Amino acid sequence: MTTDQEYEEFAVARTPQLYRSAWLLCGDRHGAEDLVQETLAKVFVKWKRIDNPAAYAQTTLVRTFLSQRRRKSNHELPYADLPDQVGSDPAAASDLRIVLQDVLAGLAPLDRAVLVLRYSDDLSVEDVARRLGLSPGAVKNRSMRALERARERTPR
Amino acid sequence: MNDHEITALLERAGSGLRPEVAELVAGGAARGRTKLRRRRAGTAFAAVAVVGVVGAGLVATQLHQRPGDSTVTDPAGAPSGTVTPKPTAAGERDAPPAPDAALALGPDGIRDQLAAMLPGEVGPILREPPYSVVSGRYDRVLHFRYQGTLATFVIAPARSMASCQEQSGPDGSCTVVDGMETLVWGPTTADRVTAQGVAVWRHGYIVSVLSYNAAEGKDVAPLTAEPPLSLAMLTDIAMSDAWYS
Repeated sequence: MTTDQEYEEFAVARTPQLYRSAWLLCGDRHGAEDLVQETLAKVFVKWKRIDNPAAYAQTTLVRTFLSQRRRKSNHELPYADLPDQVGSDPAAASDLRIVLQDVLAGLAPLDRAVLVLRYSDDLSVEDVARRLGLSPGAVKNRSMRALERARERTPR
Repeated sequence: MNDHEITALLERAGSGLRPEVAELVAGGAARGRTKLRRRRAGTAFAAVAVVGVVGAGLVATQLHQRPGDSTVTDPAGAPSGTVTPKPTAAGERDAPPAPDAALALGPDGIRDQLAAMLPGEVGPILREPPYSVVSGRYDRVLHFRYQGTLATFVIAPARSMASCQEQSGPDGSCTVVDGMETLVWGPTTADRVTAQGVAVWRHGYIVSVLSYNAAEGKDVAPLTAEPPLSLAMLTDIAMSDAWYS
């Protein structure tokens, strides 16, 4: 199997998981697709030097998301209520996803990243801290804040 | 809401998502090839021709920040705790030596030398934007047309560039040939144009030669199926003694 084929095999197998995380981070289909492609591109560039491609891809995804949000930070703020959607996003079809979008939209990008890594990717506090360059305490605080927010906005 | 509930909520919300996997993978690989080609193009000036003026700033960043350096922002700025670069035969963590030989030829001399080495027609050096000619103490960059297709020749100090391993990617390989680190990559297609190239690390420099199958480096119709300068020809050029005095 060539290196190109190995990369493709990895990318095909990993993309659904990356897309799920990207959708949770971005909250919309187009943003998620762009984030996944940018992540796969970065993995492609470093493919031969990556020991753990799955971990590398997931970390790259989250960091790329945070970097993109940092660049947009002068124009975009977290908002309390989800604005009306223009057009229909098939990925947001279910009520559950709409609720979740609402919860996530109210979080700062870093809090969202903590939530996704901690509860969707099921990483330990220490692993999340390492990947995001935070202290374990900061991860716990951000997790707690995100959970509180989720509790407030999720219908019982 | 507790830990388990939020995990379940995220799982349920994500379980119905059906991404277009094939499209995403193809798009990601295409972007990756473009990124690699920019890196391999050698210098910001060379890359201008390849990726267009808009991309020059990005390439300049790549140039001055070796991917192995702690100051590098890729991926996206934060330090990595989960990625361990594989050790390489070339010892990519060690800075390459400074140039230990002077460059023998200026851009015109290089173009004449290439015309003498190659069987086909070597056109004049391209000097109009977006192309530039560089002739510094340790740098040479020139673009020309070979049989009507674009070709690029670059000499740059190895210290300012990504290492052979760092530039290899899935479509290239870094080997040691006659004691010289040699990167052979392509043919690979990005931005509609197919390119291939060879870079050789020698005397503290990197000599890179690229051949495209079109008159420009991106977004134009190809003129030939493959780049006309074969990998063997590119290797001969990159390994030549003619560039050093």
